[in-house]
Amino acid sequence: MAQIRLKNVSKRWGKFVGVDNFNLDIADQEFLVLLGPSGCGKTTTMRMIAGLEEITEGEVWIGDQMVNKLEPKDRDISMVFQSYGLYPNMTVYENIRFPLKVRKVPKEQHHERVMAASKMVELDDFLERRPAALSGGQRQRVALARAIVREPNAFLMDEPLSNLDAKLRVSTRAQIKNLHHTLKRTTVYVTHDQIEAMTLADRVVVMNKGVVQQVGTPMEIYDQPANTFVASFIGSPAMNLVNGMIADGVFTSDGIRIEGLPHRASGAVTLGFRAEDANLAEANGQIEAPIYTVELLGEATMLSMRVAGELVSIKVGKDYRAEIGELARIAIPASACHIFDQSTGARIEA
Amino acid sequence: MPNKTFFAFILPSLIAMVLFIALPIVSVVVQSLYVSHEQILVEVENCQPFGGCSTELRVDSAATAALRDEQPLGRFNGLGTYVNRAHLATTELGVILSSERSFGEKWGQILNLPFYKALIFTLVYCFFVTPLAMALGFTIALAVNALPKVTKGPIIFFSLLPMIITPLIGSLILYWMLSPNGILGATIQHIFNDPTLSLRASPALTWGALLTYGVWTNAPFSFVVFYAGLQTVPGDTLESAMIDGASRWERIRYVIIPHLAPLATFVALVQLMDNFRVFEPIVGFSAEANATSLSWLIYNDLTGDSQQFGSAGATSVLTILGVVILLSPVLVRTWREFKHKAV
Repeated sequence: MAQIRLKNVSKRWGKFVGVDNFNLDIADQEFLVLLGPSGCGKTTTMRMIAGLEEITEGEVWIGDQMVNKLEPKDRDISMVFQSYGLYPNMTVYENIRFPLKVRKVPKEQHHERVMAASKMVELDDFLERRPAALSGGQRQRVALARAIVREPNAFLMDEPLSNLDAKLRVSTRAQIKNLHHTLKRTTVYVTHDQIEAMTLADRVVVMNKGVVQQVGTPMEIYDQPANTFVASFIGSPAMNLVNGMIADGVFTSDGIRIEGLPHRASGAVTLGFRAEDANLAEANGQIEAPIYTVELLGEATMLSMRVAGELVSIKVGKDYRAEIGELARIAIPASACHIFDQSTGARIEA
Repeated sequence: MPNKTFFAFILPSLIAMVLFIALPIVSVVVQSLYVSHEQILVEVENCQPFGGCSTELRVDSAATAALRDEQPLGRFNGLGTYVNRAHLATTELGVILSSERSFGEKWGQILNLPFYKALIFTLVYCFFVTPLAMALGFTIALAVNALPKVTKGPIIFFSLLPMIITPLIGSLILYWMLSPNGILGATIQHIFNDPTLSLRASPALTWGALLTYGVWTNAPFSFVVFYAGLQTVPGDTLESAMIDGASRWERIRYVIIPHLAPLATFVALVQLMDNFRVFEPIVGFSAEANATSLSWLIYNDLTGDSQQFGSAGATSVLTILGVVILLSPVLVRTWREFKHKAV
């Protein structure tokens, strides 16, 4: 059992705030992803859970124990690092065995446990090699095996896929997801890649500048972003955001007019809609603007056009062809629109 | 890079190496094969007005000077200098070893042969001072690395002092402190309750003082190199080890020491070479009665009224051979690694 609880956790270096008043309950066996751009405090948060970073304020609980003052080794967690953190002078076998050795696990268990862990990550054939003789993906699998061999209560993973090439990233990602399913351990995973977050997480925490922006399931975060930051961070391409005025459920701005929006909002707002929610209009569209670029994606075609000073992207059928500068009419259903307060960026619920 | 460009690139250093390393070594080897001419003696008949005549031998200064001018290298002696009593002393050594005396007595006699006396101290100095100075330097580096930033600067400065102080002055200071009325000397006499205990009287104390001085003066070099090396230890690996459950000592043993091993080889090489030519402390401590070194022998040959270039040359060549033998295991290993990597 390893729930992880962060209560009012803050990290400051002098006047610089790394993480500000972080509150979160991570359930046992949950796969939680901390997502955000570089410098948003996600890694710092994870390092505070691991005990590698001192907590300036607040409490971290693992299970029913407050761990603020505990050494990393006493927190019963294991961690996978972006740059693997392997021991270069030891073989793969010795690397995986290391936690058992230094924790004085009875020697007769070592072989069996190392073999089980290495089998789980398909490393059986490389046990006698040194890390230098392995590819990036294999090295990261050694790091994974070393993390699981001890069977800790929780795993912490700090951008484990960032150093891998795109293809390997997909397969290792699948492997991590499968491992979590098999081992059923609480996992905290840090990434700046929203696709990793969407594919792996039970819940995602989106962070920016040390502050939690939204906590929710991947679908919640995608479908109901709490603010313009989350909206622009999640999804590929990011959500289109257009500033304008709303009154009586009608949003207007330069080159765009959408009717039938909720009446609660009025005044200066930011309207958001996703590229895939818009489409070509048969007759009168909500947007009428010249095409800025046409990009062929294979499974679809991406149009972009300038609306109210912003470039917006529209995903249309893969056979659509048009010239740059041609006038296009775009239909955006009111139900697919998100409305945010223009000054605070916060979502205005319908 | 084309061969020609490469050659042009290294030519200046090649010339410098030939001029300042190869030629002096050749010159030393040649000089070691010669000894200075003996003086030319002439028989002179000396007649007194009332005492009759007698013959006596006299030095023919003019002829000697003329001969020395004509052949400034001296007389060719082959390997004679190498095997004489002042050097390898093969005859004396044979006699000592084939005698019926006990091992202790034989050892004492060998220690009386100047070359072996110097060689034994030089080797003891090398193999005692090098590892201890490295261990001390490493310990200081670990300690300084763990200090808060503010205190690091001054502590690093103090740790480097022994390296900054001229060896002769450093050893003189310790010598004075160890003299009977110095703070350490007086304390030692008090502790052992022996008013006659002094550096001059006790070879053990002299050796102890020289070795202590050696560790003190050599540690800063290891410290600087290891401290620089510590800054390159990968943080992720150290943190992995922390989370894996390694104690501070285990992190040093399994992460830091393997990471610094190539650096340690370098430090050991440099320190061994450095310590093999130990010289200043022997002069500083006026220790020649109890301990001499190969470098001191060379110095001794070259000072005084008559410089014995042949003898100094022979000791120098033997010193060079000693350094080669000393470093050969490391050099062979490096070469093997190089070949292994090349394959």
